[in-house]
Amino acid sequence: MASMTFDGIGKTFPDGTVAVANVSFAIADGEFVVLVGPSGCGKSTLLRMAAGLETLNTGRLLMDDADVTNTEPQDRDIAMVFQNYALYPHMTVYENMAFGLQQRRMPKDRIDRLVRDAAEMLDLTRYLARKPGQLSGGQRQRVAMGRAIVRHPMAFLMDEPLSNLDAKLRVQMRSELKLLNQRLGVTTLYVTHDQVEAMTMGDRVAVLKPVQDAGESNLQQIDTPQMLYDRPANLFVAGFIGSPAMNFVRVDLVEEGGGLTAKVVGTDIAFKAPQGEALSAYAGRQVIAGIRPEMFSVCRPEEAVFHQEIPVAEALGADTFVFFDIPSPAVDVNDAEEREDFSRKGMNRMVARIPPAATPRLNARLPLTIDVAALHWFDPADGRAIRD
Amino acid sequence: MSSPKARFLTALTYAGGLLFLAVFIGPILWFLALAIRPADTAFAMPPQFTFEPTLNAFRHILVDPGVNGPQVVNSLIVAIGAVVLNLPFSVPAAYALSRFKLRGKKHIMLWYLGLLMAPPIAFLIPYFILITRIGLQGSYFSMVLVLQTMTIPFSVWLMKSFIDEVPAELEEAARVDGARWFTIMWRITLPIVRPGIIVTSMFAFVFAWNNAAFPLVLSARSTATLPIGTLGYFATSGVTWNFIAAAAVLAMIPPMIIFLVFDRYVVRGLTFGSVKG
Repeated sequence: MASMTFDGIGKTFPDGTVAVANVSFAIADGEFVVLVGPSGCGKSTLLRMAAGLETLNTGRLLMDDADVTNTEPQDRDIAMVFQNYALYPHMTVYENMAFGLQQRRMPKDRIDRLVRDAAEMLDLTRYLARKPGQLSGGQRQRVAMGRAIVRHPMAFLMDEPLSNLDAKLRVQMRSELKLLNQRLGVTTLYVTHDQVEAMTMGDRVAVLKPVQDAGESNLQQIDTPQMLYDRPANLFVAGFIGSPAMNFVRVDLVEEGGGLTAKVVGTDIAFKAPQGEALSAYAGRQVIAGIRPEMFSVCRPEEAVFHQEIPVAEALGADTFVFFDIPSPAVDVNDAEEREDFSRKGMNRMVARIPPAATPRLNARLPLTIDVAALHWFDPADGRAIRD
Repeated sequence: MSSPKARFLTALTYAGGLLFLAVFIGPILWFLALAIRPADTAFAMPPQFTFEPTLNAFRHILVDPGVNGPQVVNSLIVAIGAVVLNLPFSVPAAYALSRFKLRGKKHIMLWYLGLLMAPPIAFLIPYFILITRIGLQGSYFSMVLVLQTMTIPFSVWLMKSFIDEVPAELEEAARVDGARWFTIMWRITLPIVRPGIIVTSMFAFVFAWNNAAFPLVLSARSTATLPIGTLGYFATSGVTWNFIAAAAVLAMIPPMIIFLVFDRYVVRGLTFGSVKG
């Protein structure tokens, strides 16, 4: 068991592509940290660096206090679970799990005990004599886990270990993995592109973003799942965490009657902005307001902030998502620069979560108000959150 | 019911297939017939398709005087020797070329390809001189050694393509598990490419078995291989076709047995990419 520190990690491929730049964070002993982000955000590269399978151009990697930047994977005492499991196809489940221990020249009887304990824990005892080809996807996944835990390593590295499972099994394995981590207390670095997986499993979640040049940083924010949801550091995190994604609207902040009013650009929609020093500094300027779908509530027509036709409604049973368009420029979360979404011809599609009973007829207008105090505000220049 | 046109096309396809078969299998069958027909009917005009089968030619080559019997053993020694000497060099070479970052990897592969493309006859004289200088002429080892010029490049190319198919994650998993490169090669990669090793051995065996040029100049009377024995029947006093045919049929048997026994590996080898994992 060990802590792990990424200190200014960077990697540029020989063709000039910047994969990872300026990533610094630390994982505490026994902590479960999830790296999440869209494809190309460098999350797998970071994990492979932690394993020693990928070299880094800049920065240092520490395990406990030892610098392992240039240590071979063989000497790092970490275990890794690969996306495609990478089980040795010619070996039985038992041999797959024993291989790593044999490499450490452990006595046979001790290997046997460890393998059987791990198999017991993962309910694999019946399959020890089988080869990976004779197992189902879920069983293979468990063998891959078994191969990792049997070694009692300093840290687990997991590269999208659940992505090859079907949806039901994935949910089941998610909680099993989390329980396993709590039981073993092993430091874990876990990569996924699935934000639900990230939110439900991580003690802390690191949100990463693709970078173009070595001056930026992939790491957007690292925090507990709740903090990422409640206090996203910037537009990217705000747009990435939460499902359906946060709505973004451009608003002009206008001083009116001793307070600030937010006027949605291109429309006559307006609402009162909350009091706050940080936001007041933006008076007279344009900012981006972030409205989570769950911040909307259905109201009487005279109280409505948004009162639009609803062309699409998705009933999920417990909730209904209603979609509507406002004639305002869309905000591209991936770069905060002004950019219109031409596919919707200057319209900004919004989504609100409402109780199923309030679902309107299709194309009828639905009066919606918003919880103004809960809104998120972002600086359109750099996408950073505006917060006191 | 299919239309007359479709039936005509089917018939045409079968006719084409039969023609192909006649072209490829016909000479082999003709040789087989040549080996078991009385010698005086071999070149009868018009050709005789019916004859009293006889094993006289086989008796001649195997029993009395039986020149070719020991040559079968010599051929086996040389062919098996070629495989045994081949694998310990070609397999690690293929592994290194597949997995390691090597300077000039492409050039090495092209060099091997060049060796394959060069006519073996071109090497004959230099090899003869080299082998006689070191006093190995007439030995089995000289033939086994010289055959590697052709079998190693081919085996490296073949083995490399098999090793390339093994997913890199398997080796990475083994590295993380604590294994060094030799252990990874020995315990992970090579067992997985076993079908490839078998196929490579088969090709090396058959190549060595069939080769006549190198043994022709390198072998002694006592170490001559079967192709050399066959050539012996092209004598100044005439060509004894039924002995040649009998020896050729004899020469076909070991490769046929090998392919019959190991054909599942050939099929598995050729479809290796689809069964990984």
